[in-house]
Amino acid sequence: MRRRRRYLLFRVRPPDAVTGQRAFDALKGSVKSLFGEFGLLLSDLRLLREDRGLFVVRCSLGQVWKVVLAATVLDEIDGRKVALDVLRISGTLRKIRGALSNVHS
Amino acid sequence: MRSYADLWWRPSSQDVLIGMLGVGREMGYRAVAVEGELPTVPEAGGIEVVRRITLRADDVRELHTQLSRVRWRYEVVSVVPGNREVAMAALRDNRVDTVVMLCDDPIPLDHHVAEVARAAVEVPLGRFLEEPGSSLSWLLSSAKWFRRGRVRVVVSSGARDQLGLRTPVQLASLLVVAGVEPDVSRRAVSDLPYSIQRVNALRLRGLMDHTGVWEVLRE
Repeated sequence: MRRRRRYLLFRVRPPDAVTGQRAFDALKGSVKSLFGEFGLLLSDLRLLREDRGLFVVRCSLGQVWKVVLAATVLDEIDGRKVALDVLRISGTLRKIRGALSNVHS
Repeated sequence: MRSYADLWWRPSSQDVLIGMLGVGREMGYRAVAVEGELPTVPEAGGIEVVRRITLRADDVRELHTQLSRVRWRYEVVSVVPGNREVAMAALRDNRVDTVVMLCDDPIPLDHHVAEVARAAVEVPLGRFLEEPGSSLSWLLSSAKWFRRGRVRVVVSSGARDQLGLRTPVQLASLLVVAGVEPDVSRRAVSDLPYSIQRVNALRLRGLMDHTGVWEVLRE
């Protein structure tokens, strides 16, 4: 059976604090510290795209709230105070692309 | 469309507050309650700004004295109780809007508390960022009382600056992961805090009486 997924659009604040890849690694670390290695595997996190302080992540449908919580409690990356905002959660990548272009414009 | 509200901002200065209002507007908030100084304009760029006071009390008599002093001066009155006795008194008191049970020494919720609670229990995200372990433990043990709205719950950011702010869905995720229904969790960052602010603001302006009846002005 095909696994159902959700796509999340994140914004790093301040935008130049860290790269999208580094923020994604920190997000994975936050999921792991809150829910363990098993929780991280269940969430099936993948970084799909990063661009100017924004990045798109794919995760499994059942774990989406846990990923959102992990981003919520993340307030420091590499000693710098940051915030990860969840701008959009969608079931299709097309809608996320639309939201991404809206944010850029 | 939902109206999102954040019941607790504590900016250190007017400039910090102006920056926070810009970010809050982007995140979709429609109303915020600010502890401390307010900008001269009560509505800043589409966000309704109201005043909030957070009272700290270690005994019931002290709580009542403080409440009588601040009544009709703030839109949102919140209490951080020093012990369980004060928490119970605050939850019962109709002058109190929210009670922050998740304080330095978190006060657990039980059926006695649930029975008397009239005010909402407030869960500040700021506390999770400072003390994640004890905060999560308190939330997991208290979540069953929030399910199906048995005890009214409000999630606020408790932010001191822009980086302390989170989007409404992120604040709601605290409750969802603890096992509270997504709909109740969304209400904890929208309908409930928004109605507390709005009704109290109308009462302070004299447009609504204390029982919730609108005052009709005759021309």
